[in-house]
Amino acid sequence: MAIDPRAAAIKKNLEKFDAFVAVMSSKGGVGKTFSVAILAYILANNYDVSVSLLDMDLTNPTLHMVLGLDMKSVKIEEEKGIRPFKVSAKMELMTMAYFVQESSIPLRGKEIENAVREILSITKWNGNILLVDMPPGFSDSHLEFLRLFTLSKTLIILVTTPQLLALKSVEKLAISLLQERAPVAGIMGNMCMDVSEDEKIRKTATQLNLDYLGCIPYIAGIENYYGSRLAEIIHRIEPSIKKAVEVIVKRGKR
Amino acid sequence: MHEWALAESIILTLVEKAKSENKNVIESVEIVVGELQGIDIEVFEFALNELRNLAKEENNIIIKNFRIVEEKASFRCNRCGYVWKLDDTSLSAEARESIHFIPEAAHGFIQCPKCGSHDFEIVSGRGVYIRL
Repeated sequence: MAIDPRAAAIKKNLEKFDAFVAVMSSKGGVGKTFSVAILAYILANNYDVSVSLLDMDLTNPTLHMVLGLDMKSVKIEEEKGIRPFKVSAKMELMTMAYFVQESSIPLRGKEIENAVREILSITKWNGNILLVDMPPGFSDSHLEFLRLFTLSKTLIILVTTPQLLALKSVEKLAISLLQERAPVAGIMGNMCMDVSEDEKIRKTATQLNLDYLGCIPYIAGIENYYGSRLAEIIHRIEPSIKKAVEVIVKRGKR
Repeated sequence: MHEWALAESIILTLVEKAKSENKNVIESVEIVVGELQGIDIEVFEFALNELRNLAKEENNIIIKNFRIVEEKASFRCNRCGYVWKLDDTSLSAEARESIHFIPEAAHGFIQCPKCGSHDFEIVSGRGVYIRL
């Protein structure tokens, strides 16, 4: 009989967290990764929360880019396991880019499952809240997340833009998650140009009986603010997504 | 020392298994170590022994014997069906280190020697598992 020993290690490594927050959207390009980076920045800097970040997009990780990190120059730190990369005093990151830098790695379902399990079984976290940047779609990484993480400690934040296809996609995902009683905290918007766009997302959330967590306003040339320049735009974003931040902080204190 | 984390997962699993079966002695365990993960066996064995002593002290669970078995890595191309071994592939030190941590990283560094595809299956020798 063959036994996979990783499940026990995953449980031990994750039990220290007060909360897991997964940012999801089945549509690509809605700004999940940017939303994760912004939430992490606000939590770490303005709420003094120790934030751990996990980029679950294994085949195309990009969270490190939004955080302004060059993974080519990073040396993997080992201490009875792998230490996530220290982004700042209150923020750390685990990403496949830590291991493959900028290489693309095509993975089939079983391999995604294996890679997720391997990362979670060897990573020795330091944070209190784990923010997870999920890839687009609703597939192997998402299913593995729902299987491995303690759902009583989990919040799922769905992200969408005000565009029709994104709204319809988030609606389908929300219905599916709600059918299996997954802990969906609400819907957060991104790239809202005006109040009418804000209202479109609010309406979708209301129809699904979910909380509307606010919308990150559209910011022209957003790529120019990746990395240390995120600090320059936080004051323009934070008031709009206060509710999303508060939901996370509240869950973390339980 | 990443080997420590792998050894820890083995001992944690064995302790949980013994507890669930109301046993406090595990007579014999075979630990299979995949070639692809490139584990330092000496370090791994040291960690297993240290953690085995801890399991006895903290949980009164005795793991009597363990045997480490190395498994050669082989691959099968999902596109053309070609089968090859790790020895047939040349890898840089950086690639080996990446694969050592996450064997699936192999897909970023290894291609089918026949058709060049990155789409292959790791048939054997991937990682660490317990055989009872």
